[in-house]
Amino acid sequence: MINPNPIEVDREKGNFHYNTDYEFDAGVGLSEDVVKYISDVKGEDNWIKDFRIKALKTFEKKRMPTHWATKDLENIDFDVIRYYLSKGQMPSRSWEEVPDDVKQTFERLGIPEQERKFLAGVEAQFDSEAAYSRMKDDLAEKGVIFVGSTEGLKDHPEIFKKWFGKVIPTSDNKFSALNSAVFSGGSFIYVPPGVKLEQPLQAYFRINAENFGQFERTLIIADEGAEITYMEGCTAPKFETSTLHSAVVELVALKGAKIQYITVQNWSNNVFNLVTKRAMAHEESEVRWIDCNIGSRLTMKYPGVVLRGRKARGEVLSIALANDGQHQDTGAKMVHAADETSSNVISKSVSIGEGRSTYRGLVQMPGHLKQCKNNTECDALLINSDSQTDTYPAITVQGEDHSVQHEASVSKVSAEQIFYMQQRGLSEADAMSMCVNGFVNDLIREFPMEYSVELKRLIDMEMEGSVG
Amino acid sequence: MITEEKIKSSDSKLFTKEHFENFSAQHSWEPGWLVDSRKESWEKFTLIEEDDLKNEKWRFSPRSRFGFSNHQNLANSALSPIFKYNLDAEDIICDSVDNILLEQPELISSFANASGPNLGASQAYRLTNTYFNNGFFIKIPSRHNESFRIEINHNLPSSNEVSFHRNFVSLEDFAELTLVETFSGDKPESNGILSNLTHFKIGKGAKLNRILIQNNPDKSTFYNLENFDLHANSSVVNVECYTGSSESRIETKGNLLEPGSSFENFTFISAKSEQLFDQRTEQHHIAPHCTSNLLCKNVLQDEAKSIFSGLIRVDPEAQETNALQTNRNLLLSKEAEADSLPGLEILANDVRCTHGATTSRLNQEELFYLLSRGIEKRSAESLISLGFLEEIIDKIPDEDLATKTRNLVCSHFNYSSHL
Amino acid sequence: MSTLTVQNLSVNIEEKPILEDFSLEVPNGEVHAIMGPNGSGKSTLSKALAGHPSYEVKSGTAKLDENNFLGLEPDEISRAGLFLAFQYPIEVPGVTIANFIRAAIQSRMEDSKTFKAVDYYKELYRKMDELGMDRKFTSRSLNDGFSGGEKKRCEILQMAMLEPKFCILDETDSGLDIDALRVVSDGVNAMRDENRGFLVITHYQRLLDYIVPDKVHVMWEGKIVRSGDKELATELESKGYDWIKQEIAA
Repeated sequence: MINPNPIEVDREKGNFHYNTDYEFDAGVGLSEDVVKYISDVKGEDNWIKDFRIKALKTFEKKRMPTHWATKDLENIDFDVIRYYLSKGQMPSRSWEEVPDDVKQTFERLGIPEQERKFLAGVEAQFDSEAAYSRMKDDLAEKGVIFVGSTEGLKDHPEIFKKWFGKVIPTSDNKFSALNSAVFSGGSFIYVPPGVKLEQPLQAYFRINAENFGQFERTLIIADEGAEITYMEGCTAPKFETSTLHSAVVELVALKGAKIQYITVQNWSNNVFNLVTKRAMAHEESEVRWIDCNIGSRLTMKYPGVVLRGRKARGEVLSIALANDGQHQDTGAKMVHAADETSSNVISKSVSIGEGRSTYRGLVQMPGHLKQCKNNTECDALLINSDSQTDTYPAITVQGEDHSVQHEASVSKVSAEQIFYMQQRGLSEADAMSMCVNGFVNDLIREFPMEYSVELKRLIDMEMEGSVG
Repeated sequence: MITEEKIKSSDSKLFTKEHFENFSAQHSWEPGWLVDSRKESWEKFTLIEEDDLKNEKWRFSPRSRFGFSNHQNLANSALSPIFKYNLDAEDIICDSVDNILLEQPELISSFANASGPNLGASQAYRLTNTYFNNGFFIKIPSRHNESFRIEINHNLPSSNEVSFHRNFVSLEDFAELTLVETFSGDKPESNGILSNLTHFKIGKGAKLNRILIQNNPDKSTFYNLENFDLHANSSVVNVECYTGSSESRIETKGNLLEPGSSFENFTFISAKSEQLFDQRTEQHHIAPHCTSNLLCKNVLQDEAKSIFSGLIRVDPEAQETNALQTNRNLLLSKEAEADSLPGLEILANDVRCTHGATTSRLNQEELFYLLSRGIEKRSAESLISLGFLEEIIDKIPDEDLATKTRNLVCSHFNYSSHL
Repeated sequence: MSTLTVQNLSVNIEEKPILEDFSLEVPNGEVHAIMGPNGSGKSTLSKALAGHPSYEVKSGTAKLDENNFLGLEPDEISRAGLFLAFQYPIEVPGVTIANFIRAAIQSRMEDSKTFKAVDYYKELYRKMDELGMDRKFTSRSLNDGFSGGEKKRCEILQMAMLEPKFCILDETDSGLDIDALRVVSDGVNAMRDENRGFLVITHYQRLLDYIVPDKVHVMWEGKIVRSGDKELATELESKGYDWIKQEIAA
């Protein structure tokens, strides 16, 4: 689909700032006052404040989805979370305080020096101004808007208000309601008709204290014939103090547009990562979610595409790695709402130690539509005897004109394979790593090159200690 | 909760305490453990929450079509089931539950704590355990190299009547049995309900071939709940063919309790008009080195709907499990709908488990080929659909029975030509 | 140097004895062949020497030059210089041939050393050309969907790239047509060297016309029962294994 050129970024530059001006402390816990405060601090228009307050009420009314999801959700204590942090309140630590294994990870993944400090929580922000200024000028020339959520709604309501909260309504689920009440940070992007961006846009370009946050809200609109690739996250573990991340990502692909959204998630092992991601694909457009989940204590994420226009195409490619104490609960939702639409889901998960990976899928094709197609493949690899996996797809098809195929398999790396590789000189651990990398290889190739190299190394690191 | 208001609002006196007490009084001759068991089931029935009924186990299913509220009476137990067999051996037991309870109640007491499939139909399950007034009891003793065959016909009750059957099948070590069960009704206009619960206990090395053919009256409702417990090195091949009833809820559970056992379940559904088939299955691997294979093929016409939910569950000790599950749906009309929920819960790592589900329409190339030879569309559809279901019909070991089944399916396609 | 010395090797599979008191010496630089009927223990010998975990060594030693390698991990045995060309090479999906061989070579080098990709591919392509393998194979998954002949060629390619001290070829000729046999044999012969030994295990004499052995041994029920030069192979082929049976009984 979209093959972005690798970005030429001058990573040596960059100043580091650490603001110390303090503002009102919103404290912990969630209430209407906190929500109003957030809105006021940002200087938002009234319609946004009302939107937030209504969302808060919806959040309070909805119950936890523990009737189908894991009971671990009940361990989230909403009263001790900080829902808004101003710049000066970002917690940080000195480089000496950063744990050794985190430092080693940076080393082994080849993370550039200046990014390490940011990721490790030593620096509060990574100044994008200097490093990416050239690219930003280029974007401005093309008419591309690339701002944070606050500026997006304030400075360009005529573009964003139309779609904001429409792809994912506030009431969609408890956590989209929470996000709608307290969202902050994230990227709002608009690509004008016919503009095809060759270089991927990264969340990095907009890093500031706000984006550090847990309740990011992203809205990407690709106008007719536009093309964009967006990347967020990174392979290195990020210093987090907050234990709840509840982001909302809305994508709108207008006629003939193409959006590719790439995520690499490696939050630390105490984080609840509950994300709602959905795209609306219009006529002849294409949306592709490429997702890699390696960190967090619990990730619940089901990227979806509503195929609203004729011949639209949706795709979800997902890799999940669950190690001890982790539960990756991911999947895909494909809702077919127009003729001749097609969807493709490939999900590969690896469970190591006592890790648990779950796939939940939904494919919906009503009877009044014609010639829709879906293909789903989900494969799970279990490494140790305590590793677990579940698969719960739901496929509902009506009508005589569609074709749906779903296949799932669970397996382990066989002893014969390991022996064969050992006979060629690879140690048992290396052999196992190689098999696991081979298992996810097809999907790793879809990631931009710089990510795929790091991802492979990350998988190797996760595999260590799983053998023997 | 079955509250006073609910009883008033529903029409069925079956739910009333009064009715239960009358029933109990009439059945007071039964052994103590059974009286207690019925009472316990009744109490549990009254405690079923509305919410319980909305949960995952009824996903996609129009719950309102499955209920007992409109039916008033329990059917006469003597009319069903009816046996047909040729068994000379004295140590084989095959009789109606009524008779066994009268003459040898201790045989059934070993099943006292048998569980059902427990896949969601709690109302039907509790009511069946409370009110069952017949069923069959089969026990085949250990007999190497001798295989037996039993045929049973179940008769659906008349309109507004409900039949609750509870059946017990016990195969001792190394026993072999072919069991053919047919479900039909001699009153084609009947909207009666049959709730059929069967417990299968398969001993070490035993083999069961079971064929079920359901061709119930069009307006009736059918619950078929079955639980198979397999011991070491035993095997079960279960073939089920569904063509009748307005709505059917089918729950089949295979428990592989000891190593070396094999559970195979082959089902087809041929649905038309507004028929609803709600099928939930579970292959539960508890012991290592077991195999299970489930294949379910559905053909849907008009506004029919099918739901297939199949779970493969592998416990942590069940290493070297080999489990397969496949659901294939063929949709022949715009309104027909097939929902698939294949599921896996795997807690052991040395396993091979796959599941697959496909939903499609008639292969256009095949259709065109038949049309080009002069065969008209409806016939072509029927031929191709039969071909699609042949894989299941092929598993019926009895040629006569297989032919009858094929004819049954064909009749589903010809009916409209009489309009 | 590459002398293989096996002494009094006894191997069980799941408590059942397969090799009993097996002894063999392949002096430096020689090529020896082992023939025997199915069930004689030929495959067990090769797997046990390579350190396969399912094969229990009850007693005995196996040395490469003076170093006993029995009891080491399979990868340690490999790095000590032993190569086994499998009878049924395993498929490893998603792992390309190029990457696999490179990882194997890398495992033999000290941690600090690496070699350039350019040099590696140059060498790889050269050996592939010699074996008549299409260069596109490098990006295919290891043995995944390969025909029998392709799998065997891939084994020989790995052998050529790893330059082992001692090679055991386990029924390398099974499933090969004459052309493939010739190519594979040429590959093996090109590696014959005064410092490299070979143990060729085969069911049929035909392979030995192409890879001419210095000595032929016949295995029967877990032991070597006859040894001779390559004429023994021809004699065995014409007289059949029953002849050996009788010879032993006598």
